[in-house]
Amino acid sequence: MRIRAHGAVVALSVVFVSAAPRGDAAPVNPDLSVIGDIRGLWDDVTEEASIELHEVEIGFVGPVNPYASAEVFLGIHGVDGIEVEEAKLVLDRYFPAGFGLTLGRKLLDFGQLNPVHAHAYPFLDRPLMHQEFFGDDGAADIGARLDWLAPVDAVTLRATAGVVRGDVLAGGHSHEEPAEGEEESEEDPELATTGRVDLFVEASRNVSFLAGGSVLHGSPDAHEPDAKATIACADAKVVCDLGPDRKLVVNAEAMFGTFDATDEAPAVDPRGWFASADLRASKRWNLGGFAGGTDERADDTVHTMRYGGFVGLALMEETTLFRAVVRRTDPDEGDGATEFLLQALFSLGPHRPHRY
Amino acid sequence: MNPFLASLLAAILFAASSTPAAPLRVVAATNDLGAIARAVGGDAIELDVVARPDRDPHSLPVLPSTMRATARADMYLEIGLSLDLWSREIIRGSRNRKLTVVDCSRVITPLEVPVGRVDASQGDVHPEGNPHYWLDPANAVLVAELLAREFAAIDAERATDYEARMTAFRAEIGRRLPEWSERLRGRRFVEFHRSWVYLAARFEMEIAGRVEPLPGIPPSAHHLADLASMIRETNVPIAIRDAYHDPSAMEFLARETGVSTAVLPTSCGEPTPESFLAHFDEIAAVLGAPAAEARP
Repeated sequence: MRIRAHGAVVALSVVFVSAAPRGDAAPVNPDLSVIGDIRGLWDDVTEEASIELHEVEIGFVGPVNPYASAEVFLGIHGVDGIEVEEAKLVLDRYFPAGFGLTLGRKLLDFGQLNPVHAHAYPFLDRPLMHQEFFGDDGAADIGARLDWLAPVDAVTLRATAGVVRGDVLAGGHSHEEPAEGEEESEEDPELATTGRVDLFVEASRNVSFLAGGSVLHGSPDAHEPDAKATIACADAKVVCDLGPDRKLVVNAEAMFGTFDATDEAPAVDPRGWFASADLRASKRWNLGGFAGGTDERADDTVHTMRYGGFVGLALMEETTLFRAVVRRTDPDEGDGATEFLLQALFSLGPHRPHRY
Repeated sequence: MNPFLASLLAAILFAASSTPAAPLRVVAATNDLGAIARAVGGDAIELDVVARPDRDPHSLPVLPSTMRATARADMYLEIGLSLDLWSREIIRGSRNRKLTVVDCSRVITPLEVPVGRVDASQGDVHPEGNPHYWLDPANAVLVAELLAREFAAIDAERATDYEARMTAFRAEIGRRLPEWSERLRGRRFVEFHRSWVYLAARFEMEIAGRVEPLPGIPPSAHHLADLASMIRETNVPIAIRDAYHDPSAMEFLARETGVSTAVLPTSCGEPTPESFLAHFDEIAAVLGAPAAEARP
């Protein structure tokens, strides 16, 4: 969902600076936030350095009544396009028996990493498998999702089921400019279905564990609705609380796809995986590593690996972050590349609670 | 009617009428609110607490288990004043439409309410005022009175019990207040964060300086040097921090000036009235100790 809006960055910045909260602020305003992601990049293939305004994200979050809330996140990539990353109404406390309903466009609860906005990743970009299966922005789509918090005592069990427009299975889009003659399909896709179950356990006062399974099913090609695709994801996260401001977070996810044959492509079963470990060593410093691999979505015989390390510094709380990443990408065919990335991330607006 | 059946029916009716009402399920954002809730609710409430007392309440990760506890709760107690923004996330995630949410800050008079424009250049400032109000025992009494009313509103059967316990808690704080006051009045100290303004205001203490130049902003070397000079020149006897604050600044001040330093938690260790009162005893012992008097 893209809107071309030249010069939007400057215009919107003016609006939000003037809307900053005041001591006598009107309490009906939603929380406004702006996150800027500035990057420097060098790679050993071109041996050239570049710098870019990778993304500006603008968020509006607030209750719409005592039982529902709404969130809108706009992403500006470069200076030539605004994208609606998420725009959703959540009926949080409207239904009995632990049910909730989300309507609108959202990052799907497909694994644990997908619903997280990419600027929150210590390793900077979405895992390679997300990019390959869903595009640069991960799995996001418009639809309705029913969630349920099970009324059990010993563990936390949650389940979700949803129906989405189906764009997500078409492979998403890239932030790169489309090639000449290449156009996005205007045809409405078939509706797709999603589901997820996850289980949270506190093994001890300092160790907790969240594991889940997700599935997405539909038709990836609007022209051939009978050709179906199913993508499943298994995920796990362990968090070890090592003391005030110190913790170790280990994430692992694996994706399994099955795509029916179409007139233009054979049946494929692409796979992908990702794992990371992030040690928050103090309030200001964190470091870690990651590795992952993915088959090409259209050709499951072609595989690419990526691995690397990262270090982060919170200059002033979490409102000013600097991250450095070195990563190596090795495709089966062709030369690999080593990249050095530097990121400066700033955030304006209220601090949002940290998700698990 | 068969005499046996009549007896059985009578026994069932008696048992039903004498079965105690189910406990009120309460989730408190912090141990301090939990302790006050326990003081008012006694055994008639089932209590869960979200924040660990040794973790910074300004930035708490939202665990799914806290949503589960809140999902079955009757009431959630918020600190308010934008301290526990994570509480809203927990309440939303609980999917509990029957939950009564009580913002405990609504009965206190906030201190340090900023005037005029508020933005991040002033640090992590709270637009509605300083949120560490539970560190004034008089505010704890106000919160206890509020909770007695709120508990009674959804559990009228035990209203007199709540009122009686609240009165006893208020009386106990009133009984201990003079002793705390005697030990703390006029004492001077350096704090790490703007945590102790309510305590200082209640007991006419002086906060001589702060490690953080602005709320939530780590100190520069220049700021610490100025603070050390001030401590030396005005003989500030003690500097305190919470367990989750960076110890290196305090170590620097102790090394440079000889000032006593102490880890003094801003939250009580357990969500019980005894722990809440003992926390003020500990505060009085640390800040009111002879060593904490102005050095010659």
